[in-house]
Amino acid sequence: MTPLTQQTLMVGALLFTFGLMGFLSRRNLILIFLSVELMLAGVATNFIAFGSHYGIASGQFFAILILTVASCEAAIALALVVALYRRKSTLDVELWSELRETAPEKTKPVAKTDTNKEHDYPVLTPAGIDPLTTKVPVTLRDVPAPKA
Amino acid sequence: MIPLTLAQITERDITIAPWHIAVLVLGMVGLLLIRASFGQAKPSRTTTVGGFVALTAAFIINVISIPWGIEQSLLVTFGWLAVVACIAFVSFRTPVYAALSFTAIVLDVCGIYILNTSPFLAASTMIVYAGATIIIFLFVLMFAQRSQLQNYDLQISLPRFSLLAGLAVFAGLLYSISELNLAEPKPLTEQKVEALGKLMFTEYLWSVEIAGVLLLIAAIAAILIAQDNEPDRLLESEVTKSTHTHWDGAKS
Repeated sequence: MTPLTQQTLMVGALLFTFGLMGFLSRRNLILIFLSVELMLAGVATNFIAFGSHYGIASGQFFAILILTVASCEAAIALALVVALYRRKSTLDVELWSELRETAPEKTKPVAKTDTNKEHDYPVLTPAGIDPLTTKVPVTLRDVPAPKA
Repeated sequence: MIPLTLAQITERDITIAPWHIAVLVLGMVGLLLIRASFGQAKPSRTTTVGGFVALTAAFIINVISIPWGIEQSLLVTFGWLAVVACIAFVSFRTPVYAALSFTAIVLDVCGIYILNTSPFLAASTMIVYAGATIIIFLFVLMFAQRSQLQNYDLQISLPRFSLLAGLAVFAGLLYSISELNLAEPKPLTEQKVEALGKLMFTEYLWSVEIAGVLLLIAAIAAILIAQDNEPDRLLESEVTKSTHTHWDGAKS
């Protein structure tokens, strides 16, 4: 293997690694998509290196295909970002974790020990999570406390 | 086998892969330290300095261990510029700066493409990535970004996990690169762009057509998704418009 091919492969590996790190650690929706683009660029670099090593143009062709798919992905992803931004006016990716379903906690069935004898209301077994008593969602943790 | 003496390094017949791998892992650890220190609210000085020292050591060892030539020096220059731009990309807090450093990465990678006998691809990558895609990203960033930095830009999620995952993936990739046994290299016999064009419109014609259809579908989908077609808001605006015209009419 020539040093040229080897070092090009290493640059591709570095690009992929940095894209992965950016993808895992960023919280801005747009920058997450940009990190995915960086990973795609690393893969395209690998194709270029191998195609250049064997002297065939197929590697370049596959890199062009990657380029096409990356621009399609960018267009659709940014349209989605615009649509999401209209709804919540933020780019924080963790806000959209509210879309998942929260599992109901296991609660003991409450015995009917009602002290209010005046109105004999029926007591319902609680189902799901009480939003007032459960922990604040992760995203609200970052909101700074109001200054006194 | 890692060559340890200078004589082994200077002997060009020996494969220099393991040496490079040690060097680049060292540099990667430096990058990880820098990244970790930027991830915290207050960058600690020792990790930053340690990261920069490891990075500089990796650079120096990389420079002295390669056989020198115009091609090699260009490759090392572009590669290290790309590394620096990558560090800027993952550690800038301001999203616009991160997007611009992505442009710098793409330009450096285009230089490496030219060295790898693919000038057409370098030009098209420059036009598509550094031109069109980054402009779209910057447009959406400036459309959606507030003037001051938000909490979600300043704080990163999963700093330690992302460092470990990056290190593990990078080590695995470098190991597989070092174990790679490619056949003898063949130079490209035809003209570079000519060979690519012939291949595109004979062997891979269907793929070209499919890529074109994919681009069309993506354009239509993007227009449809980004449309503001919420019925409530539309109705509200129409109602306010009609009342305004009514009032104007009543006044006049």
